[in-house]
Amino acid sequence: MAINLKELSKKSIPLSAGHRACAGCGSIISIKLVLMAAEDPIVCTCATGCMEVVTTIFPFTAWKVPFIHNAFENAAATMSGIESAYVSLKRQGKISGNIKFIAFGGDGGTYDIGLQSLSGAMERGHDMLYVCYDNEAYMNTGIQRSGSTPRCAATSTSPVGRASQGKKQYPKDLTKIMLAHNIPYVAQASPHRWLDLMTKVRKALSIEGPKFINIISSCHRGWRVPVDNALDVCRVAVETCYWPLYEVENGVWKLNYTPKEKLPIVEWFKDQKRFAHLLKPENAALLSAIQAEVDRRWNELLQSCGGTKTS
Amino acid sequence: MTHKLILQGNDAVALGAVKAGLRFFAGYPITPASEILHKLVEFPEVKVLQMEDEIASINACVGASLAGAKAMTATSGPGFSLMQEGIGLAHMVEAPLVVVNVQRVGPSTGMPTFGSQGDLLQCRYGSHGDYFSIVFYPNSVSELYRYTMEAMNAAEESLSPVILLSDGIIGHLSETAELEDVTIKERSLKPLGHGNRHFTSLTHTGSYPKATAPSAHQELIAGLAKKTADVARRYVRYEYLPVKGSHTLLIAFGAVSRAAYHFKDHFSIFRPVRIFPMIEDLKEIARRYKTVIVMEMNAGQYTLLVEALLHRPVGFIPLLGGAINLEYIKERIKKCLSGTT
Repeated sequence: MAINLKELSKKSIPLSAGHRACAGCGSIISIKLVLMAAEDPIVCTCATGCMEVVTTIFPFTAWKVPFIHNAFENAAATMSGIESAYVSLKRQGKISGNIKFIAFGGDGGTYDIGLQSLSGAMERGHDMLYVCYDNEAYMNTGIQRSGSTPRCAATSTSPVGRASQGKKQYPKDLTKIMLAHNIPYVAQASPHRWLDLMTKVRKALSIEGPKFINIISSCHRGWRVPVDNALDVCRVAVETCYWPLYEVENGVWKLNYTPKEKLPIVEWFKDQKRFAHLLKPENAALLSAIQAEVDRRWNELLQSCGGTKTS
Repeated sequence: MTHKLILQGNDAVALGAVKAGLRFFAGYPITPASEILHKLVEFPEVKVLQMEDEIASINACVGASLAGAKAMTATSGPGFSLMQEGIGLAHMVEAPLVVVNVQRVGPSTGMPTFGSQGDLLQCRYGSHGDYFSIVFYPNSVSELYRYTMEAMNAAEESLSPVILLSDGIIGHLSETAELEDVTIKERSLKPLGHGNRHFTSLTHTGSYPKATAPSAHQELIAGLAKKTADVARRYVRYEYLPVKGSHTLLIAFGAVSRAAYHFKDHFSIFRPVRIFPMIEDLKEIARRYKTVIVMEMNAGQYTLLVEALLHRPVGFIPLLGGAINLEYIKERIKKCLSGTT
């Protein structure tokens, strides 16, 4: 059950090298960690998005496990069908052994166009894990804003200029939306804390029923950070409490990491060019409004986790 | 006024729409149409909403249109499929709007960065039930600008959704464009909020739902057919390049028609721009030719309809998978002429 390096070093990575992800891509690290955490055979679906594109460029595939790329809006629905067929085959004695099912989607395919099919799959109770690699915009089609894009981030469709200071809205809290489905396991993770991430995946796969893990996954193209910054920028997202690491297992909330010193959100913004305008003095009010919202969400989370110790 | 500049096809669509008085745009990112969304964000006079998917995009346009705004959305094949129910709704509630479809190779995700003409029948028959969309398919950046305006005009005049077809080739093509303005048409109908109006997606007579009266439905469909046909008659747009002595007529449109121009000294060319309803003049034109050949980037969609229109067999050159190869086209023309296909 527990993850250890010795065991991992012997494991072959189920995603081959030579895929076309950008150097310094956070999402591909997240996907690899998820795949490596699985012990049983797995079957994967992937919604249209960066990870589907870069891993399956004709005539190659990087996937060493059974893999289905479907359309943009229905990774969870397709997985519902696969899982149902598996249950039926198993009941008929036509298939043996344990197979686990993992559906991947980016934030576009999960927060936005795929939310309906994800919600349906979770409500029906399929035995599957849905993993969102959240890079906070439509990075595959030209960096357009998504339901996950932070307030004030500059994107192709929420530009910065005289009339606009980036995205006007705060992101929706998808992890909490999934929690409202009352499924047995929901978690937030970050690839810079790889052990926490992999432990969560392994735990999720050991639980029967629908599970959801949301993983912040940096994108240097969209976030405008240096190519060698993939993990550090995720770390600062966690240290500023913009992206808290927590899990909710059967209704019990647990904070997995509390920063020793909670950094101001500007620490996360200052290395990302998509937020460059927020550092200007005239945008101080926007910055403090965002800080207040981060604090509000963090305090709400602390309250929800009240009574449980942080680990 | 006309002015010249180097422009990308998708940008030309955005500029044409703004010129025609676009006030509302709802869309969702998709290759190869995203640039239209990106460009329109630059215009403060247009309310641009990035929606959560294409279903939301078309329905937001229906809402904005009924509220009085000139509305448009832009997408490519997969998104166009998701919009089909909304296009039917727009016909039913008579909401003028423009749907731009920058076609890519399908079905499904297909070849997102390659152009295609695989959505012709979807334009005509994609939604359920009977309806009669007016569809334009220009073949250059200049024409994309002009026909975006014409599409918006036709939508306002017919109080119906009008489709502007493009493809990944001309949508992403940058070339010298001549931007020629057309007279802009305004809507005759007052927007929602003026008086008490009831819109329904059910079969209806006037404002009243009549979902169980066959005669009401027969009247409704006849009305939709007549209305769009009447307006379409004001937009008889096609190009006909006859060659003396040619017994062969090549039919092509969109990106493919530019390849067809290579043969214009040897064969006559007919290029419909208003591809639906089909140009009636083609019946008369085709009578002058022994052989009619349609070349298109799909498995024979328009060919089928040309055969139905002309009541005669028609040669067909399929250009599948995003490739337009002149040598291949030459070979296929030869085969068509020797009757071996």
